Amino acid sequence: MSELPSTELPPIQLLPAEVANQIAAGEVVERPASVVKELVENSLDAGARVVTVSIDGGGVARIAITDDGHGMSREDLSLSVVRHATSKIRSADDLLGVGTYGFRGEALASIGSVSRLCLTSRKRTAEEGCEVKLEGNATPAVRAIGCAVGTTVSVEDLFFNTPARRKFLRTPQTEWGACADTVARLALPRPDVRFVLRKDGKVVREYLRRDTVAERVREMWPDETLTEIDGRRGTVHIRAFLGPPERARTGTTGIAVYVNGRFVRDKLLLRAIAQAYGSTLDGGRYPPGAMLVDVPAAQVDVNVHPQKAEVRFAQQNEVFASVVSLLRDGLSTAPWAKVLTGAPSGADDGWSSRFDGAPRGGAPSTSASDFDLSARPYSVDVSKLVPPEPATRSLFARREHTDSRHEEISSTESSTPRAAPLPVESAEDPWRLAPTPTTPTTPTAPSIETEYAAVMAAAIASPRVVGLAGDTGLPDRQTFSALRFVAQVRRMFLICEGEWGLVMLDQHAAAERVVFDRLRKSYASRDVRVQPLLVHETFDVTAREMTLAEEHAEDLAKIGFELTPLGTNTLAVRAVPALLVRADPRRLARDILAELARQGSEFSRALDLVLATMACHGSVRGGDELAAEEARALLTSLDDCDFGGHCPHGRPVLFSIKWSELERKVGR
Amino acid sequence: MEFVVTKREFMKALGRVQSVADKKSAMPVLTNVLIASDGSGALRLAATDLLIAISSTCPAEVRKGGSVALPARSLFDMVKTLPEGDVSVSIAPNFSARVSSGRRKFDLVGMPGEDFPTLPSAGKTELRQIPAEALIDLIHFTSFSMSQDDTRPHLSGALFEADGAVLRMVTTDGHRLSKAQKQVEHSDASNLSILVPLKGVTELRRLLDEIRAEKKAEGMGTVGLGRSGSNLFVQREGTIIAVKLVDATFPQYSQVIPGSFERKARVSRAELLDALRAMSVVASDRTSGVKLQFSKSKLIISSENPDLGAGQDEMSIELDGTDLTVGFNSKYLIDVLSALPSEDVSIELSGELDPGVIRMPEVEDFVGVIMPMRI
Repeated sequence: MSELPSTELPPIQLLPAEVANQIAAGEVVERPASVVKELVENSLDAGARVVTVSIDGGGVARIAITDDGHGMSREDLSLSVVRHATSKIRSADDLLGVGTYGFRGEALASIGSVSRLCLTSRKRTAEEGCEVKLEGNATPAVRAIGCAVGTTVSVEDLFFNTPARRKFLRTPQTEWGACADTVARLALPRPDVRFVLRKDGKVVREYLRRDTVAERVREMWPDETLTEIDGRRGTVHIRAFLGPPERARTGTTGIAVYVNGRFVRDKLLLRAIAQAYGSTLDGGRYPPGAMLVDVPAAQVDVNVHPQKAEVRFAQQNEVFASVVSLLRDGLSTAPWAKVLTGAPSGADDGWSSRFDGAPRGGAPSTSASDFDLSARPYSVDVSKLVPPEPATRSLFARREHTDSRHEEISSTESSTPRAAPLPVESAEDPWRLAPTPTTPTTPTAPSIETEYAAVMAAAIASPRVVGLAGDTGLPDRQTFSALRFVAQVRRMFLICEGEWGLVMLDQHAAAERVVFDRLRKSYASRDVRVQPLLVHETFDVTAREMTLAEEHAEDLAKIGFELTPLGTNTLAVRAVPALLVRADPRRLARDILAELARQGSEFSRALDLVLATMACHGSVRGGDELAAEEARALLTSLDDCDFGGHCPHGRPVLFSIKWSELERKVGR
Repeated sequence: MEFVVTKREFMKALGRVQSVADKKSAMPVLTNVLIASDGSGALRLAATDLLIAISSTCPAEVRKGGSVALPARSLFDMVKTLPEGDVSVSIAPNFSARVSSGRRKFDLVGMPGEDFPTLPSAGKTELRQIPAEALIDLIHFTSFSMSQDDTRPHLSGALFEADGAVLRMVTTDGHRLSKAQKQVEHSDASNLSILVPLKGVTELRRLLDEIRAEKKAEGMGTVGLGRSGSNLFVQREGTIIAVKLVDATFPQYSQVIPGSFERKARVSRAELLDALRAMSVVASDRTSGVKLQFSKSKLIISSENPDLGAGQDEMSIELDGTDLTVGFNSKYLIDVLSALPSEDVSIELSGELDPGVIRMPEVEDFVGVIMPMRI
């Protein structure tokens, strides 16, 4: 605005209803999938036994939901499209114990304000049905019509009158994927309802009516061996169906969490799952499956978020503790937990039954860590490397000046890389003897409360930057190859001797860094060598993942990846980058799709993180035995890296102690 | 328990079982070797890591029967230091073992033999006798292309099939595949199709290598082999190995082996091996890609690494078909060529992206399939 504002502000006015509706639509109706969610929930609230969802043109052209529920009378029908008109609550008091999916009374009005909406409905007792049409902000037109019992809602030309919103929609494929995922999420806790999903006229998925949630869950994860857990502690009741840790996937795309039957993205509950798996699960990875948590309606507030994706528990710490302990108990009997603890898994295998009963016990989270080679223990142990005294801390090259809480975040949420840390030394203090500004923190076992706080903090602050800036992390321009390799300890750390001190490297992080650099170089020079697979690996994906794979097929090919669809929900890995021939193609492909899912549609933005994910797979892991020559080769390769100080996920690769410091420690 | 055994026999038996004893197990008893005797003229030594169990007999003068579990590695190291000749071992009631020979003696803390897990037993399963020579050949021809990744059990093992008079072994890591088969004399109706884990193959190979080293003159004889429950049992004289089989589905290997080809080259195996080893010096780090340019009478093998440089070599060959340039991971080629005994090999190719097949000329028993690399 170049003109000066007039001295007099315009008077405050109530907005016209249609403007208010459009504003509300911004919150409720984000994309076709949110329309599907609202409408299917309405159908379920109406007691439907069969819900048919038809998506045409990614849901932008047309979404139609047909149910066989109660239906609505002529009066209800015309009122239903008015904002805050609802049959589900009557007063503010009802908000405390919402038992239906919907209650805000804004969905239909909002949807109607940004699309051409048509509802037809007939009550079981009525002789004829009734139709109401709403187009943008026009007045609803109601007329009698013949139709089946139940309600059909058809939404056409979504966002036709809000071009800005329309511009932000992804491709029809992507939007379709999101809609299909939404239906799956809604179908999971409702085995009593048959869901039919149609895409551009064809039935592509059908969830038949089942007796139990377990049956429906198994139908949804046909490939996974899920452990069923059913338990109650206090007022918290959980039912969970969770896969083994080696099937875990980066991000939350593979896991569905419900509170009182409502799908939520609750950080607290996700954290509880991770906690129950303990060190068998890498940070940021979650097992496939579902968890349904039920608490008394009065103890949970669902009126936090317009789409009701977030909830708030009255006693969140108790809920967290209960869920963790119930899951732990349940998981300790999982078949994979037995495998991990070394005891035989079957009774008919000919091994001693006496032995079978022997030394299992204990939570898998503790005893399992020694066995699970897929775990990357360093990601958990980073915080423990921090020595307690501040003086030593300053020598811990390139660590951030942050409190232990931040450490906790980086170790538990390794999927959200940290920004490049701040340099520790300053020019004025070359000897680094001055006290550091940090408060000494003694690493202690974090309580559930502090972990919860950490998770919430991580949710707020998560810079998505790959740690690429900075120097090698070694003091005084030392090169890695100048270090003398002494030994490998715990099959995880490489101990090296430098002129000025002792250096400990995390072998996986270091190797990952090297592979990452090679991948980037070969990508930059368009010289990616591709190793097609002789035996194709296939795996099941969600509609959204399928879409991502199709959308990014070309980009993925550039980095050496070939994924081709087999049917509607199976992908085949046909080629992998030659640098990564040692990696498991399926797990690699899954993680890359998860990374893409989190990064959105722009591939260039996701590239570094995708490469980092690939590097992680193609690298030496914690637990691999390294011969002296291999260790030395790794050190030499680190010199070639643009920056060897951190692994591509932003974790430090090394930790060093000066000789003088060591000497002081032992009182020399 | 008390016995006298010659150092030579004792070392042999201990050496055979101690590699299986699990050094890093969370269950301390598994680091032990079980020594048991019913009082007759032999000891039975056994060790297990719950995946593989091995038991071996050893002639000894048993004065008093019984059983004890002793730390495998330490016992082996102690016995090794003893002079040649007789070693006497006596177990105290607190299961401490005194191991002595001449004036040297050791006391070793042990555990009751009852604490040792019961080993799987073949029960009534009849073991089929097969020539050891055939078995070791099969392993030798195929074991290099197993996946080392134990999170993918279906690939980190060898498929072993007995099909009438034919024994077959197939391995693949997803990028290459090897299939070898042998005709054995004793036709036996019992058909078998099992997936033997990597560690089991390694242990079998050790046993067979030992047999080969021992009996050079009169041939290697046979080993007994059979499946009972989820275990594979292999028996040779007093030694029995039990391997817990992988419960996974091996890929449909017959679909992967090309049925036809457009080009066929006959190449000197040693010469190609030499050229590949030389070129992999410059091959790009980790990917080890080499380029093979086949033409009528010569093969050019080259490799380049943008950071380092390039190399090239040339050899004469006979090619049936048109010219073709194809990239391979040199390691895959080197592995298969090193395993084969023949003077020449034939390489069957179709397009540059179709799997290449390596065979021994005039021998039907071996097929190596390698997926080319896009360079």
